Amino acid sequence: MRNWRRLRRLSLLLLLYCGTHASAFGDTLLNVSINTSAINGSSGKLVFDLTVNAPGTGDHAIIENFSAPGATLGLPETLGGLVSGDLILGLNPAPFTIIDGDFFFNELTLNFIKFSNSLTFVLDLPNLAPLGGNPPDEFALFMLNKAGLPLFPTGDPLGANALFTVDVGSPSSLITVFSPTTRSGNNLSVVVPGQGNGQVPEPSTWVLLTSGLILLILYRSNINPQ
Amino acid sequence: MSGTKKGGGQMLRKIVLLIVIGVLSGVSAEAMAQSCSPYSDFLAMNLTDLSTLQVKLTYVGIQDKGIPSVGFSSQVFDPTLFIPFRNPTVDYSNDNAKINTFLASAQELQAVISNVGTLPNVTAGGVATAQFLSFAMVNPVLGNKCFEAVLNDVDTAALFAQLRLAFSNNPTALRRLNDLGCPLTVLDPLRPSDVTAQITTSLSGFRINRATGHFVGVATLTNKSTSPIGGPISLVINLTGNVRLFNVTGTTCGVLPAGLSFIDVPLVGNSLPAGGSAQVTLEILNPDAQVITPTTKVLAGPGAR
Repeated sequence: MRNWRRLRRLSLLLLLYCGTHASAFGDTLLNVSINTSAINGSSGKLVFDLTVNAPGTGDHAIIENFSAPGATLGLPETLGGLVSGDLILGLNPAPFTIIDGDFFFNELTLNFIKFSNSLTFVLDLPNLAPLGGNPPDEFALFMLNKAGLPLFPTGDPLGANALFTVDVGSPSSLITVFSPTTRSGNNLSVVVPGQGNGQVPEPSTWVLLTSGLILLILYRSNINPQ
Repeated sequence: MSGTKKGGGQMLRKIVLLIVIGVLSGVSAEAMAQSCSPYSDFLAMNLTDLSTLQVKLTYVGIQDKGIPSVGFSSQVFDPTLFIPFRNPTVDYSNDNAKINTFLASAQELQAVISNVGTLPNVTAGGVATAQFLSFAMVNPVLGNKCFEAVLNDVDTAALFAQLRLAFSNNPTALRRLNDLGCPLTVLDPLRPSDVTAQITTSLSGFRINRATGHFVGVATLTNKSTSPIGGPISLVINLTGNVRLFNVTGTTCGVLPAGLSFIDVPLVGNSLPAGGSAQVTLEILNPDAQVITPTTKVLAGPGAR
């Protein structure tokens, strides 16, 4: 029964989306690609956040053509507004997912049991002007570790460690990227930095290790001449 | 037998003597703890001496809720240094809660000593009949030299005027003094101008900082007038519901409406040029994830917000 309702709602949303999409060429469409080869095999979270200052007035975020080949996804989590579509069903690839701005804070968290080399999706945000001088609605993308803290620091000057943000507005939205995200037109590219930097032994460490081993072998050969 | 008796008597005398010495030393220690130095001793301190001076302002009058005390020093402020010198006839309960502190340079402390030196009712020390504010100083390095004047409201206002002069280039100090001055109605008589009409304030969207749990955003202030606006510039923010500004500079008291949070906007050269912009980060406490729809007001110039 509940699935029927969800399916019916999704169909309506799809119809609405298809009906409006042709005329909504003013939407912000971003092609996002994330190179996760540095964390291939490890776990973490990809988090889509949408803060809305006039909830229920039509703001939403659409994630299209999500694909993470070779990755293993766990059960997703949501907060705030309704999330409908393929990602909430745990599909990969996931052609269509919508996060409704029903509340101030709306969130979809994809739990990666295992990242692979890359993931891609298209982000579609409507260009809705803030109501009555309110701050704009904001979309922000995050990568978190299992504990829910940022997987790596980004250049986000507010310390939130977002990969990029979109302040939803009209006629166009303000897209801000933070390192390691780069932007070329509507293509956003993220290269996840390697984890555990500085753990490779330096040459002096190798020298010490080797000399120590030689001394140990000499010592053992002295006490055990045969 | 008599030798034993004599020895016992001597022992008794020794015990009595020890008791007397003990009691006297205790009394003298207490007397030393309670006795403070004349103000002239502080006037004679050089910059090295002043670098270890600690100063505290405590409201000691009638109250129905706590009023945070203010402490300042060139070092880390240590309120426990003042405890041995407490006057038993004065209520220092405000010192038992959070004390607002700020750093003061030795030069600023010298200006404090010098400016306050012009107020005979303060430099005389002692306790006023209508107790209102305790002005206390301790120098732990110079043999715990101390001074205290418990003032009435009129002398408190005069003291605050001199302290504001001494800290005229220390915005944090002025803010702390105003935070205490607000409930005591001894505010800076200057008031900032309302420049809301000359400034466009735009807010960014908000996102969550997972390390703090605060929502963060940016306010951009643009001077749309044709002349520069002198600082300091403060953005007054009125938030509704269970939403609060976390990184506040202070709360309005001198301007209406009172009780709103404000944050000072970082400026280059204490001025916002015509057509220029300045940004300030806003950290919002929003435990119930309610909408953040603030109304704002901009104040410029010196004086109590």
